[in-house]
Amino acid sequence: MNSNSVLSMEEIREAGVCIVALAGRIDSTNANDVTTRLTNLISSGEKSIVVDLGAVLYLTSAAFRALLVATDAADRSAAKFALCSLARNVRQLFEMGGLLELFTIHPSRQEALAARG
Amino acid sequence: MPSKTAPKAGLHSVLAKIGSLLAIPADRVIAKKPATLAYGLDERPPVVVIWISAAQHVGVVSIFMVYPLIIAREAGLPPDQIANILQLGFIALAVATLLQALPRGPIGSRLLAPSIFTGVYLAPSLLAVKLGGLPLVWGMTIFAGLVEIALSRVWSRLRPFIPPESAGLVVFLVGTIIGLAALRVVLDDGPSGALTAQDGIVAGCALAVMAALNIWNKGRLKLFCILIGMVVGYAVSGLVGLLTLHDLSDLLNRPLLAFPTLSRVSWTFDSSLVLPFAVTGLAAAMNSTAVVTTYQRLTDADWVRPDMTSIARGVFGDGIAATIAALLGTYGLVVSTANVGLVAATGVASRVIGFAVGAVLVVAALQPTLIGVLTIMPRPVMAAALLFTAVFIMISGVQIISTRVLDGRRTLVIGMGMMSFIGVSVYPAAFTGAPHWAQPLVTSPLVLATIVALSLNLLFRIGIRRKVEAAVDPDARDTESISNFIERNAGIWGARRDVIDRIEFAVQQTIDAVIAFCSPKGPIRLDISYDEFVIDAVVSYGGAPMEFPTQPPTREEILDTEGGHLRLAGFLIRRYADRMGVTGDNDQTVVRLHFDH
Repeated sequence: MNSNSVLSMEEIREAGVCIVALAGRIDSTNANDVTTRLTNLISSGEKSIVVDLGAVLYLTSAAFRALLVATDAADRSAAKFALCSLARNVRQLFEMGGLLELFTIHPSRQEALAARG
Repeated sequence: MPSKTAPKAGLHSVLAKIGSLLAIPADRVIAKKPATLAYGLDERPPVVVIWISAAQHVGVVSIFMVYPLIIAREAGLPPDQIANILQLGFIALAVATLLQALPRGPIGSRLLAPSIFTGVYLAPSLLAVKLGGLPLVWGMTIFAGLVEIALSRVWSRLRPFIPPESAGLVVFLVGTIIGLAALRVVLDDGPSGALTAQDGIVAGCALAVMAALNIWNKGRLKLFCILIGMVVGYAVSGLVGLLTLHDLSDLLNRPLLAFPTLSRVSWTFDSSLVLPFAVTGLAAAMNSTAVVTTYQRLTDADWVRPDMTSIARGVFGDGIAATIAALLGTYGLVVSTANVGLVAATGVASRVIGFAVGAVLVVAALQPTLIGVLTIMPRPVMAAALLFTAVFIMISGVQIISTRVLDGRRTLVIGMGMMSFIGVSVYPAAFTGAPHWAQPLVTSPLVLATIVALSLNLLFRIGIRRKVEAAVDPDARDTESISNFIERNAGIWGARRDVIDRIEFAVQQTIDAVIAFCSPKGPIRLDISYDEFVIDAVVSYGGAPMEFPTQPPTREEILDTEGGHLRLAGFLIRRYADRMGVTGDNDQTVVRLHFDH
């Protein structure tokens, strides 16, 4: 990973749900790290994952692909996979790309957890 | 029975057809309604709200019938001909309001935006009526309308040359002209004219009621403050003898219904008035721009910048309406500043009300009693209504001006424009020595102020474009540095936050995709230039061109193919830039991203 891209990933477990909090920029230099982290969680048997994008500054098409790959892997493993807390500019990217309907998206982490429960 | 059901079915199909024409097209992006509005642009309020709102809009619009009234009185017309002009005026206003409310097609701003007769046309129309009577007023107003129509076709491209502060200046000066017209009306058209006691009492009472209701009334009466003030003015006029019993009995003896006639309408033209009326058409277009922009801000919670497509359609509709008004033999009109205030005050912005306003205006046009009430309007009542609305229009102009950062360049443009207006108003003989052909340009305060402001704006644009460049090493890319480079320079230029965000994403996404898929040879070059209204970002690299599709790739394409991922990048970049283009071959590619500011 390029050190300049400044992406951080943090895992938290809450109410039986694995929350992956991403922060910084996600582009082609680090999107594979996101894919690997998420698909590893799914293949290790994780059945409920929420990716918190609240601290993501921006993402490029590489990030969308990484999230789609994870969604696809979760579907095949019968795991629940959702995104939450999209900042205004990040949500605008999803809208502009016509990508909103490809993901399950919750307004906040609390609402994502409630939906999982 | 077939004979009875057939016409009914026919009527239903006609109504259904009309309904479908007036409905919002399915592909329309609906504006997010601000919390301050009770009914948004595309919402349909209850029927009662629609008709009460329509009546209020017609009440506001009626006040500005004073302009054709002033011109008709100046032409020395008898009361029956004045009434005919006002009837036709209501029909012209109905057409104008309907054009602006149309939900589709190339005409109209698609807003609840009634039109009014305007002070913009007052000075040149007074000149025309003196030179050639009403036919010359109507002929030259057709010309001004055609100028506005022509301008609407290129209005988006003229944006850098007609900035918002200049449009705000025109709105302010139109307000000033209306205020001066109020004084002229009450001082009986003479520089040494003194205010009579009768006029002073009537105008003072009417103005006091309007101001008191506007400032201290917290309820619905505030919305009707001008109308109530005028009613009080009529009553006081009766008490002081400005209105007589004969006037009232004449009103009561009028027929219930009367149709206007076009038999006295004719049109003449005078080349010496071409320039003042051309500038009037320009001023009307600038006024419409300011009004439609205000509506856009009022009705869209996510508003960030003027929608030039809607503005150009609004100017187009405005020009057509002014031309129709002149063909009908009335007076020049524009989209109403005063009615924006009504929409803001009531929170009812539904476009559908525009059709109800049109219907009420047509009904009003056929009512001789209503027209009669307007034709006998006492001069001090007229003056009070004009003065009251003038100050609100002036402050609207100031608000539009103050939305811009007023640097030295803009201060000089606005200040010199204002000084030109004041100078010619105070010293009307200042330019009597100017060449004959230039006289129409330098003797009208509004025309001169508009020309001075637009000319200085054009002059001060010299040297405004700024440019910065950077190089990105594909093997040691530093996204933080690229971000800082864009933020730092755009910040220095005073670019808007939303535009900076779009530039940053589009540039980072372009560089990201180029490095990932286009195997660039050597450094990627980034040039960004700025000229206040436009920011261009140019990304150049040695390598194959990217694809920028107009449709997004499917989920499967993104997941399964490298091309799908690249097309998603290209699609997002295309969506984020206002315009874009790509040139080059496998050796050198240039991606140009254009952002309106």
